[in-house]
Amino acid sequence: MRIAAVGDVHLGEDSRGLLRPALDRIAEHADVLLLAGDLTRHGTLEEASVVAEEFAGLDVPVVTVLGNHDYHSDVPDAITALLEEVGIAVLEGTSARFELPGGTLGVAGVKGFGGGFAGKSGSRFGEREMKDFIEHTVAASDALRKALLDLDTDIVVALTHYAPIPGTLHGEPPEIYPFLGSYLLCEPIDEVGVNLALHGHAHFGCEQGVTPGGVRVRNVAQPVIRKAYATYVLEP
Amino acid sequence: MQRVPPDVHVDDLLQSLTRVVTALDGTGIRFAVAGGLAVYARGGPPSDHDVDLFLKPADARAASDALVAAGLRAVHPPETWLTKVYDGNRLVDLVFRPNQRPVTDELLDRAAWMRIGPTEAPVIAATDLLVDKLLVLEPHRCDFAPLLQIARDLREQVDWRDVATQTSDSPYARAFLSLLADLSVIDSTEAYVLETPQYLVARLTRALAEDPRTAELGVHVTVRGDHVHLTGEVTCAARKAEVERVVAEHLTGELVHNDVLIADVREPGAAEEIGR
Repeated sequence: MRIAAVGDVHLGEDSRGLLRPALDRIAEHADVLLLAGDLTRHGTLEEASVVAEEFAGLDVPVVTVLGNHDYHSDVPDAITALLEEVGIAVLEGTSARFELPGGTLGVAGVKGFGGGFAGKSGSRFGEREMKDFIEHTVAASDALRKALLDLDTDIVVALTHYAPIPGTLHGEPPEIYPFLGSYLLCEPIDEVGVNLALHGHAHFGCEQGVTPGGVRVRNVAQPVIRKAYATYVLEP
Repeated sequence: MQRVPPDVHVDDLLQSLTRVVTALDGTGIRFAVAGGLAVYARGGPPSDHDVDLFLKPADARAASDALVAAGLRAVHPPETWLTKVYDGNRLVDLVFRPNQRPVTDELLDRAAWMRIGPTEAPVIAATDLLVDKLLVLEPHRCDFAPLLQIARDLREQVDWRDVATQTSDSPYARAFLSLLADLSVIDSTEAYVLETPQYLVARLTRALAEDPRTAELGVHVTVRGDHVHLTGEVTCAARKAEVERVVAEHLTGELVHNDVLIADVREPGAAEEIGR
């Protein structure tokens, strides 16, 4: 089973058509395309329509989560609707199932959020703002767990925007790790038995990492992979 | 040092100034004495060879008319920042846009009434005076000697940090302020507006994220002395240029090295085989 993935493409008027040449022949490389959020720069509908144009009508199914940039203009629901209209599945605490030549693929997706990693993370304590921060991550983690548990496919992929492990953040300043991801996102990945976890968000991070439970993690932020999309081959 | 030319003595200038002040008195036109006579009024050397008045652009015509009515002779120079009248052979400059910066009510508010020879008139603040003097410096006019004397004579009246901030775009002004600091005329902390690098990095990083033209969290800013290095990756060439534009708006003379990469969007080569 061949999985293509990329995150943080940050499309806008100025980059219309940028990825399309590489996407037109994607079926030669992959059976499905997963997008790890930050499809836009400012999260506007105008930018989202550039995204829709770019990824609509490909020869493989496309599934995405949104990223923090896609929330910037406070219209994530409208962006979701716009993308789904052109056949792109947008996951947020939900999952998608695909019958591919290599078997069945299940993708559980959530944007996720920050908080930091085990032993060096924020807690649900103190000011309301701090509790809100961590509770948003806890909710994302719970939603991801629920979406993963819905799946009974040959291959299961967890798709997030924020990072579930610090291992794929090497290259980022350690001080900002709590804004790049949370160990709370990793717990369900290790609990449920996922085959591959994909995320974006950390432009200065590295591609490869592994969870405490041994699940492969790949940071597919475009500045990290330095190509139109990365491709991974998994055997059921 | 630049001395009064032998044909015009400072007393003659003061006589002309008195005529001008008397003529403008009662017209309601706001003005302040600038240039050499302002330096003189504030305790500096009796230098320069004309009378400089600052007034707002809208008042220049009326002031010229009032002075002509008082017997002075108007000439209309081609410059767009001043007009001139003559009192005999003595020149009176009516300056309304010194160094491309229009005279404002705020600048006139900062002027103080002072005695100048036989008359009394508003004199521009010492800080404004030094800013004006430093902004005049350019490749063909960078004689520091007369300025040095003025700086020594007026130093207690000047907010040097403000001067440094207002003239930070001028390498001549920076050089002069640096000279004043080295000569202990002013304190070195007053001579520079250089921000602590940590704060500069924070300010630029925040600007790149929050400015809607960039909305960029993926560019790293590194400051080394007066060099600013930008690294990271953006989606297209237009954004790389935009990053540099936004950063430049927040800098005063630092050299920017824009090493930001453009996204590589080629088709992938070999796939990674992920085993069990």
